[in-house]
Amino acid sequence: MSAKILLVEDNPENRYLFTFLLKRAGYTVRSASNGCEALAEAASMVPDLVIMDIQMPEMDGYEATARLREDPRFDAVPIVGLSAFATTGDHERARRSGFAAYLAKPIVPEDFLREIAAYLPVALRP
Amino acid sequence: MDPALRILIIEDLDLDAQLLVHELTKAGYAVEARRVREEAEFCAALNEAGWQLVVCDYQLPRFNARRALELLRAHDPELPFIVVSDRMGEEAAVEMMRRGAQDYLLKIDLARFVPVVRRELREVEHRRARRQAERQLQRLSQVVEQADAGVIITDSAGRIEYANPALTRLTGYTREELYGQTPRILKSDRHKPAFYAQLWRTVLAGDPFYAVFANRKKNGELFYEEKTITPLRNEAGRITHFVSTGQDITQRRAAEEALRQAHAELERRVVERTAELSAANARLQELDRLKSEFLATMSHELRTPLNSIIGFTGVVKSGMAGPVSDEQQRQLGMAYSAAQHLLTLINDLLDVSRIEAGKVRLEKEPFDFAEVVGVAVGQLKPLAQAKRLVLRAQLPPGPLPMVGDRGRCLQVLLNLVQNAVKFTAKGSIDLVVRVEPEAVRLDVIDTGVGIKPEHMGQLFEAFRQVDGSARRAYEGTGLGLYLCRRLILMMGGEISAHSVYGQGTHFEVRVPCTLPAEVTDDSSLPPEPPNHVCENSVG
Repeated sequence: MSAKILLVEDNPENRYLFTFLLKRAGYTVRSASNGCEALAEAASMVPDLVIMDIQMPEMDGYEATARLREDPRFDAVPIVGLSAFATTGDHERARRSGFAAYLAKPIVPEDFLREIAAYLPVALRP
Repeated sequence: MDPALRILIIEDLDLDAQLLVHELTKAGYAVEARRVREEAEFCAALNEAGWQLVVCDYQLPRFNARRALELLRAHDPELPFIVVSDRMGEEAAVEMMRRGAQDYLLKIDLARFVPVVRRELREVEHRRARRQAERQLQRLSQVVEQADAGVIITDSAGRIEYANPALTRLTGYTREELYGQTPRILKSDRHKPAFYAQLWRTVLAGDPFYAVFANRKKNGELFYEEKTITPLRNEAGRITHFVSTGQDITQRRAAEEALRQAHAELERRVVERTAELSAANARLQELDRLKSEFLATMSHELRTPLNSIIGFTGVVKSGMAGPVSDEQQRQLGMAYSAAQHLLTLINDLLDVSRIEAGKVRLEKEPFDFAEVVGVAVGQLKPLAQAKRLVLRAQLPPGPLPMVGDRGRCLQVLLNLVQNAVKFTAKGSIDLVVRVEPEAVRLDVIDTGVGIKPEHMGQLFEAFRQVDGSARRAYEGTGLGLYLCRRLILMMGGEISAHSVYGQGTHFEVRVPCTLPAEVTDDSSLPPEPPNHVCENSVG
């Protein structure tokens, strides 16, 4: 059985790219385009892992992550941050804000998939 | 018993002298008499102190009474001088009295001698006291007359009885104009009635009043006087006069006022300048903030589409989206590496701007330098192999523990090795790592084109590839070595290069095992690389 992944990304091309890569790798993928949608989606599907873009309109990735972390249902769910801001300060802030990891855009497809798999229990890897 | 009466007798006849002494002794005086006959003797005697009386015979063979009196008065204006004579005309007597003799006696009328002596001994004391008082008064009035301070003496009703020259000079009024007036003649409109009321209350209570007065001169000009008004009392304790002494402080006040205004002006200008500077500073900070924000936004905006480009190129190229022909594969490869190159440019530019804004903070965590070398070599091996270059790393056995920023160390290594691969057409790139006390030394030695001696000095400058023509042959931002140097300096290390043009280049890096205490502020770094880090072995 493969993992259910919630992908939160506002840019439609990138959303399509990540969804394509993840589905192709065998994951079940649901996507949201901002933090509010992400919270609703997470409640309905209870994902095994969340991939969260950090800069998004309406509700950004920091806030969405903070909300998810308040909810005990998602205690065991790793949240992997994604950002096009590649600065040391962002890494630190992401680590403090409840992200399990932080990936800088642009991603390299193979590296991206390898990183995601690393945050899932072996049983849930494709 | 009274002390002896000391008497000086000028007399040529022994008997007459004795007679005089006898008269006094008979009257109860203890007498200490000296008899002299001539001028020299008399002068010698006068030099002794304590004579109370001089008696002088009018007719002397070798001296005369007029001369004796003259000598005595020069010596002592008060000592009683009594003339004695056998026969003396009225005229001569009056003349002697006029010249300062106290009395005259005829020898045949010596009965008057003792009463005259008694009277003179009494009167001389009065005369002396009076003389002294006069002298003192004269001195006092000289002091007041010549004083620099303006003095006014008024009667108890405040009418001016006296004003000294300093005051008339100061005010421009003559004494005649002032006498009989009250000091109100000097009054200006600068004081409130309460001020004068306080003045009168104070002095009438018998106390001195001290204040700075703003008064007017005769010509209307305002002047300032630091004044003390003191009441004078008579023996009965009643106030009879007021004395005012004052110092003109107009110039001093003007100087003080000028100084105060200069101070105020200076302060105003300092405040103004400070405000200007802080406004300018705020503008600069705002600009700096805007610049940082702009860079962050641009970085984000540039990377977002690049994510799609690199991602999809990778997807298609890997065959994930369907089969790809060799030609398509080759073309996608070129698109992919172009996108990667673009990403490097963006990253370098962002790094430079952040370093120059002093915004780069180095991590301070333990890591293994050997592992970092391994990662760098692993990442660049494919690039070297593609050019058929040998990429070798020579390390001491075991880990190389360091405390610092692993990511930045990796960045420096990747930059140096990538650079070496880029500028080497055939041969090898060697990484040699050695442990030194408290530091790690890294040598990157290539067999590439090398650097011309004249370009050595610009090697670590920003936006510069040493050879303009090289820019076309070897694409790059020209920021790599500049970033390396800045980062290494922040780590407290050093970097230098040696090159033999046409044979290869050797970079030498030394990084301390532990980061220096303060590494965030790099504003003290010189904008240009100092010469010692770019020595040229070819020269």
